[in-house]
Amino acid sequence: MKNSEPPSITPTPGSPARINDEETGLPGLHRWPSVYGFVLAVFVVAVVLLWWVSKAFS
Amino acid sequence: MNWLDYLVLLGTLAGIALYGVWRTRGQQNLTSYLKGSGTTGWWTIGLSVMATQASAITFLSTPGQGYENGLGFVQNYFGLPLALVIIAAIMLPRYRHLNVYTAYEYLGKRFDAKTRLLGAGLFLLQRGLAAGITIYAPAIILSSVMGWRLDLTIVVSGLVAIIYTVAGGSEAVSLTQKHQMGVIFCGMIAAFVLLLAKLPPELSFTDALTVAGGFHKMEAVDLSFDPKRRYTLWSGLLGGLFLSLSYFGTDQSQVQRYLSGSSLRESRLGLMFNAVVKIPMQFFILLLGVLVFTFYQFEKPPLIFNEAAWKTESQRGASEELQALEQRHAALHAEKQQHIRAWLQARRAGQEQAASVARTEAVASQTQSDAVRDEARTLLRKRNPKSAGNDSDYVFITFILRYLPHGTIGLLVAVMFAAAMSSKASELNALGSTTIVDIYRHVVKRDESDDHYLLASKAFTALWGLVALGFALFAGWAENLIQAVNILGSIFYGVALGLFVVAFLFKWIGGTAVFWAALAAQALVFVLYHYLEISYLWYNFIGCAACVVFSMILQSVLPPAVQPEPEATPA
Repeated sequence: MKNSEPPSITPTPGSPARINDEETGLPGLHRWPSVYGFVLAVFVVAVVLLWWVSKAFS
Repeated sequence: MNWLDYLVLLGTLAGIALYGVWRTRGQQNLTSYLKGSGTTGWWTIGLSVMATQASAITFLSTPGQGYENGLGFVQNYFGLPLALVIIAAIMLPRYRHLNVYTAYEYLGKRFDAKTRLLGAGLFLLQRGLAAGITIYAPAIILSSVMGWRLDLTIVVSGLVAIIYTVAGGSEAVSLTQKHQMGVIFCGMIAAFVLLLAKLPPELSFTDALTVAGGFHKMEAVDLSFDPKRRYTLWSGLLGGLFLSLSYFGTDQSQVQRYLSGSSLRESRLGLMFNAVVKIPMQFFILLLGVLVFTFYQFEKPPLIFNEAAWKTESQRGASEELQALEQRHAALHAEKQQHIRAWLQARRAGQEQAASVARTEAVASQTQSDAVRDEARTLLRKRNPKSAGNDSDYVFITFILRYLPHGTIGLLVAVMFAAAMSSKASELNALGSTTIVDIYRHVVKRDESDDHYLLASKAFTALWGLVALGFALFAGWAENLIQAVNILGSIFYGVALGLFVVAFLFKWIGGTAVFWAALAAQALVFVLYHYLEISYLWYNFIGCAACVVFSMILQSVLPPAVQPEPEATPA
């Protein structure tokens, strides 16, 4: 998926930089559960492996 | 270094810089200059984010950390994957949805103009000064070891990065970083392979790790709750989480890298790439240092790795004292080597008791040897405080120059310069963007054309580059200034993060409350820094927490927050 052409930085009448309630919410965590889950699983495995290395060569 | 090394070094660095300029030639669009062409894939973003964080000091100092203190430093990165998941899930979608150029624009949209200026000001102050150190810190080490002139090393390495950053903007930075990371990976793998080949033939890889482990260099994870311990799982998780959230989520030099992605998906994948790869990469760099330690158990190490400082003080009349220390160090090394060989023999023969005794004796010799090294370093520091520096920073580069073949030396010195230039380019790019978007276009000149802002962006990027060069050139005259800049960087991050935490999580808090709360929190951090002696990592947490709590208190006594008025300029 490609983005459409980003708008010019020059002011555009009628497009105020207002932020609404929805945009201050917390989207995202539910959208990519498998990717985030994979990253967190790799992190846990890395920490466990490092802990094992510490024990094995202490 | 011989001609082959210089050929590899100059060919690599000039080739990458020219490639960046060539690929982005004729670029006349402000958006592409600040954000890239909008076609950047996750692979380039991931490498770009990684290259921005990995400065030359990473490759000079981290193996030295491994040599001196073992693998424990890797725990400082434990909070990083968690922080990147939070940023990818919560912060990045907001930035992209609002199509902002800088992280501070988001503050303007969520709160008001003054909070945006505060966020941008904190970044410009901290990063503007730190940009000079990005050039100075590796230049002082490399010029000393190579015998190059410090000012020329600073000017050449700084100017190359300035030229391609000014010419090609964000896209040139991302493109060159991809290739610089290629050089870095190749160089570090070559160093690893050659280092293994340099170990005694009778020593297997497991033996090498066992020897290192015998001297407590393999302790990667420390579960202790003792707050006095420097690196533990808990300080790494909590302190590292807040530091990474602040650095990757609110520092424009990083935000600009992942905002250049062609889509939200590509930007997220770039961050997730770092979340997966960063801990193994730091482990690998530390392991290089640990293996250099093992190597030096069978080969006599120098008493002081900063040989230039050693020679200078020897010539200035400290020769006898240093020679005496050198002899004690050599005798202890010979003794230790015998104990290590006896330990390995007994271990192979299955004689556990004898192995344990030999190992204890080897560790005792190492403790005495460390004491002699400390004595030598104290002597050097006493005679010339500037010359001693941090000796562990010289461990890896000294090993490279002494033991690796020509060609590889050039490649590894190119690694250091590539790392210096890649982080420097991101900083300049971010400083230029923040100045133009959050200050110049927002406050100084509001209604100019894109061409005007494009030209101004290039001018501000060049100006910041020259400021950084000037700072680096004069930094040697003011060592205290460098220390002050490092401290400032550490104690600004927490409050900057606090601004964004309030913006994302506390909808009922408005701009006035958070603005004054941030100033109060920053003042509190300065006071605590003056009176407390705690690790700088904790100021990230304290500054952030104070900003959030003060905001809540202030908002509860102020009139309810209202949506900000649209700013006159859509940012």
